[in-house]
Amino acid sequence: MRDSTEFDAFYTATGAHIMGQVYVMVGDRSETEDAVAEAYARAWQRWGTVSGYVDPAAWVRTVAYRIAVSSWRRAMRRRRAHDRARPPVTVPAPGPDTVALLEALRQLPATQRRAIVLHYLAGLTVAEIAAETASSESAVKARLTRGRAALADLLDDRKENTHE
Amino acid sequence: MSDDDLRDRLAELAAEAGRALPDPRDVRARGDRRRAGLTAAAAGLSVLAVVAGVVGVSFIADPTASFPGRASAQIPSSAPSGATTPPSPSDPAPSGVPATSQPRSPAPTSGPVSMTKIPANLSMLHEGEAGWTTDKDANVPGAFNPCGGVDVTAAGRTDARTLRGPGLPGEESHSPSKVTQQLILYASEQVATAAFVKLSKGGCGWIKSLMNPGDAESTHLARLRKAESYTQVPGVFWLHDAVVVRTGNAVLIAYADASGAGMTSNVADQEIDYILNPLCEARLVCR
Repeated sequence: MRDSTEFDAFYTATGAHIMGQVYVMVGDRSETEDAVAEAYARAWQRWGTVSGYVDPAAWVRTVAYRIAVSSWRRAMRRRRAHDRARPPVTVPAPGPDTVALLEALRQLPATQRRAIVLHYLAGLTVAEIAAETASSESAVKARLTRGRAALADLLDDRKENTHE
Repeated sequence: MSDDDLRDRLAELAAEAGRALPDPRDVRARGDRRRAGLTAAAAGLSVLAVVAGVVGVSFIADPTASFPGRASAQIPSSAPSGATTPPSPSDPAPSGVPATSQPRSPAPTSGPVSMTKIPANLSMLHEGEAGWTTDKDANVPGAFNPCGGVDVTAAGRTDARTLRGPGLPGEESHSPSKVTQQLILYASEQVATAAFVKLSKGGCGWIKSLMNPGDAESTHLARLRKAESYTQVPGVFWLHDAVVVRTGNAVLIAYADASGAGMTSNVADQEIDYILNPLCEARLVCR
């Protein structure tokens, strides 16, 4: 028997964090919102099993990320977008710092972005990131080092250009 | 920029997105709709369970199937939703039995059949696509052999078909990849299971990837990855992915080697996903 109260509490406690983490990994807001909602829907479908995991939030994050980067899903979403009329959603314009950070993140390979988010946002250790991304620890370390250096370069470059 | 600065800026960015959280009741309703839809589909397609022995072949026998993200993969714009393209597990629940969930060729006509020869008219996922080659040699080496040496896919084989081609077009410029899709038929389900067990063990640097409930215990699906020293030297394949599925007396392998940036979008996973979606709808094999 699935416990909706327990699920709702889990969702309320973790939803905003997972949404933010996947957004920074993916860089597309509407894709993220849909993927995260879908991941939680799948978690609810199997809540009897997922709730027994050591870290159900990690399961949701992994599923949401995989949904968001699936090109098949993107293709389906593009197609469905033609099939349905949706009211326009007004989103406030992001500030210059946000734009700069998003731009810098987009220039990193997806694997580096994911490692950066899991480490700096989700607070995972190298070993935990390796387990979640099915990579070796040395690969994770390389991604973190390279991603961190690239981000610093990209953001510093932009700052210098702005001051010129 | 210090680590704390980076952490703060990322947290600020993440917090903006986190404010757009839907109501939990909506999320549960979405899950319930999918659950109800899958149950309906499974009931309508229960007959397929009887002929699961041939599904290993028939589920990939859709000559119209093409892989999304490739130049030739155009989703027919005139097709009604879910009518000619395999539904994704993430799609809204179908209202009835999706036509695509039924194997198209060869059509099963009677009770359990253990097919040992791949039909000549079988069309696999990338058959005929530009850049892809087809090998119908039954004794071709296994597309995936975790520890090298003796080919663990060889014993008891009765037929095989192997397709080799490039990775996703959008990623070839920075992450050149080689993809192999291989269907192997065995003399019996037992022999196929034995091959699957050997393939799914991992080891020798191959790490099992557990994405969904039941992955660890799965007797029919395994996903493995091996990462070697990172290098961007073109043509040096440092990242390797394999997904293995066993159904009936058939084993299907999707294998990918990536070089460069290694941004493969989990291409092996997608290969298998695209093939498995109709099967999962019928509750025969799910990830």
